Amino acid sequence: MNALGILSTIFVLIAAAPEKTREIKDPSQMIAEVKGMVCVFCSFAVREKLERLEFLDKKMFRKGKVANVEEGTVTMALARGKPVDFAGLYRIMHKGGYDIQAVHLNLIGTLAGKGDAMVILNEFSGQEFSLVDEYRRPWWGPEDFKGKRISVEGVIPEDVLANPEAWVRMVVRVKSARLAPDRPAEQKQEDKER
Amino acid sequence: MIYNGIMQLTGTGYFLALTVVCLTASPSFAHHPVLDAEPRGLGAFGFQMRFENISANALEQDGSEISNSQGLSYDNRTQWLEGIYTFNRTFHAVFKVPFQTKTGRLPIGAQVKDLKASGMGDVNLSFPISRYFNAMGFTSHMAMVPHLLLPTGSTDGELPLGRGTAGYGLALVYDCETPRLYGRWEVFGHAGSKGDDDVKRGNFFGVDMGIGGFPVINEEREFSIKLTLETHARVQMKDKYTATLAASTGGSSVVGHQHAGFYAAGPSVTYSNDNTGGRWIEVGPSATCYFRNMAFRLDAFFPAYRKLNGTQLANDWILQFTFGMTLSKLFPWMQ
Repeated sequence: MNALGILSTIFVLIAAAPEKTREIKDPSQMIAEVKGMVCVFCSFAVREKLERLEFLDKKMFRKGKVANVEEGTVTMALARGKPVDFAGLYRIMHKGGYDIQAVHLNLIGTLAGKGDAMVILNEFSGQEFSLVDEYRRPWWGPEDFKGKRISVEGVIPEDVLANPEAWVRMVVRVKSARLAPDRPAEQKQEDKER
Repeated sequence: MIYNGIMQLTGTGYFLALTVVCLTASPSFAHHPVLDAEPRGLGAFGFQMRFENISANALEQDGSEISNSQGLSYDNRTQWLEGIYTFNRTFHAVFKVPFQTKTGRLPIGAQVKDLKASGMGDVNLSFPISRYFNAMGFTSHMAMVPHLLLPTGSTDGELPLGRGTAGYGLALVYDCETPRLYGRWEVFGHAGSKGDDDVKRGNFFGVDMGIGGFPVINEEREFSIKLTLETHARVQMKDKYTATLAASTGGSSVVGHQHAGFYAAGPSVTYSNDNTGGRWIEVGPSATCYFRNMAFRLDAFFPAYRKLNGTQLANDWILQFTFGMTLSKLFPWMQ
């Protein structure tokens, strides 16, 4: 192993932290784990370009997003009713010189079967997601979840994000799920009006 | 940036070429804007202004300081305008333009003269070819950086601003970074051909290293501070000049120079200027403040080791201030 290899290994070992469990309970937020984003200055241009994404709620955080270079994450505030443009997000990061390792999000909606897939229509964004387990098989969930409103914490891994075919209906690996209370009446009314 | 001037001291009957070597740690040939953090994003720009101040007042002969009774000195203040454009993750283009003000008290012929010159020097163009490696909490970058030195600086007068010849070279760069640590290593070389004055400046090779970290990171204010210890090592070959000798003994008249001595006649002879070149190592702290897309850097370099050939003026320390910024687009209307 040459000197460069030894030095890089030292840096990676120092930097490497145990994998963090990212909990995200709020459907209005999404966390992207970004590989290579370690410097506030270097990531400025990419963070600036993220502001163009229309699905961000620009009134929250710093124009809809906040970066944490020590954790290597970008937390995004989502605007209600706006579908998340995963393709745009991936392209901005990739062209900016970084790679998204995963996107963590919280979905809330009713679980339903659709052909071979188990699908949830996310009430917050109006987008449909396919749910899979850790083996990428359709996630059936417990029997009492069928037809019920559930809250799902999930993660979209890098290979799915990088696959243009997946951008039509994003695949989410379920980390945890629970029954959710009924939707508030005013929210149902808001969605109807929208 | 290295300036070589060949002057004569007659009256003592021997040929003495005094060469001023600007022991610049200036990253003229290797480092790339912006403050070594080239913008990664496709279509991004980076610019920086670098202010470099070098003063050489010590006269050294064969590695030891000797009396400088004539008060010989050399100062070079250079403002560099540097820019980089990122085509994609792999290809970039860089320009570096020096604007120099040189002053010196130097021997010309039988006299010691006070000289001054100012203007644009030789422009450097380079084309970094990069490869990034990204992981969570870590990024590294390797680059091969070929460069061209264009002979845009004036060679008129007794204190030329340029070398009068094109030059070329290559740098190999590796840097890696975590949120708190930073390291950079570079190896580079530069060569050139004969200039207007029939002198081929000595090729040089260098190794640069910067190791440090980020003691301050404030994400809310988009502010951070980087501190590094920089080490620059250089080896410069002797200048060579080729001259046509008249067949004579006891002395010769050489095109552009005069020698006292005996030389065999021949169509051309290549000489080395024994008062040029050498090797040295400079070390010093570097502090960079980052705020949003701007960066401010202060470097100070001190000679840790120096072995110059023959008799040369040498500097004691070098100060450098840089301001840089990155832009995701050059004009607001650009996508």
